[in-house]
Amino acid sequence: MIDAEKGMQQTISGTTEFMSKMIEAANVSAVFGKPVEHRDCVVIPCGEVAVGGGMGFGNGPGETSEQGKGLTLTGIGGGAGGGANARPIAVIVMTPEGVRVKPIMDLTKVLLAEFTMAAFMLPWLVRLFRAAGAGKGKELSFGQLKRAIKR
Amino acid sequence: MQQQLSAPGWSIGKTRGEPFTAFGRQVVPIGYAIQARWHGGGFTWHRPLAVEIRDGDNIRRLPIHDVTLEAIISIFMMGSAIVILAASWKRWIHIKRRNKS
Repeated sequence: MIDAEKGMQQTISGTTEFMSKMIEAANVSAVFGKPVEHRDCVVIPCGEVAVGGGMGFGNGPGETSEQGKGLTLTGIGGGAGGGANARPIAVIVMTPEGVRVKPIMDLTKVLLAEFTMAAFMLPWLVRLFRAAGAGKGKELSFGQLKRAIKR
Repeated sequence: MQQQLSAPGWSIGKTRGEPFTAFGRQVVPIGYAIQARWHGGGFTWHRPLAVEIRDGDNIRRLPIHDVTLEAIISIFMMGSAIVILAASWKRWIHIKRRNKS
């Protein structure tokens, strides 16, 4: 039991240290890269960094063993998870003439957003125009006619 | 940092990077960071905000735009506007027809 608790404490401190390092890594030097000199210009890449993580550990008393030997079963459990995301945003170009910021467009993300929007818009528009078209002609459909005859 | 992780809290603020000098100009990168900490976890979101250019006595700021995010937001805004406009146009036609009859 003591060994298990010791092990759990070690795991907790190890995971906390790992997460601290992970969050620490998302500092300014991760956002602005090292300047790269090329011919007559210096390029500084910059991007967005997002890091997150969480963990949870717990223990609790269980039922007394069936044999009645006075042993109490306990449960120890835990879990941890995390993620990191980094994407380029722009490059800073320094030349003898001046400093410029050149933005970087992630075309894949933009196209994905366009397709998602189209997938959301199309059913709406189809429904709208179908409803608008239904009111135009007052002719009965085959189904409506059949139902009217049955009545 | 380990202490920060165990102490819950959050912070929002600007960060400044190491100044870099080239061609007689000094560039200071400025970032924007959002940090949240809770017991046993944390979250950091850090993005570039601008660069400060010091050219002699002149200090000017060049903002850094996230064009991808701007494009995505404009696509969603435009799509939503089209759907809302189409719905209101359809409603307007429906009311007009009902008033005629």
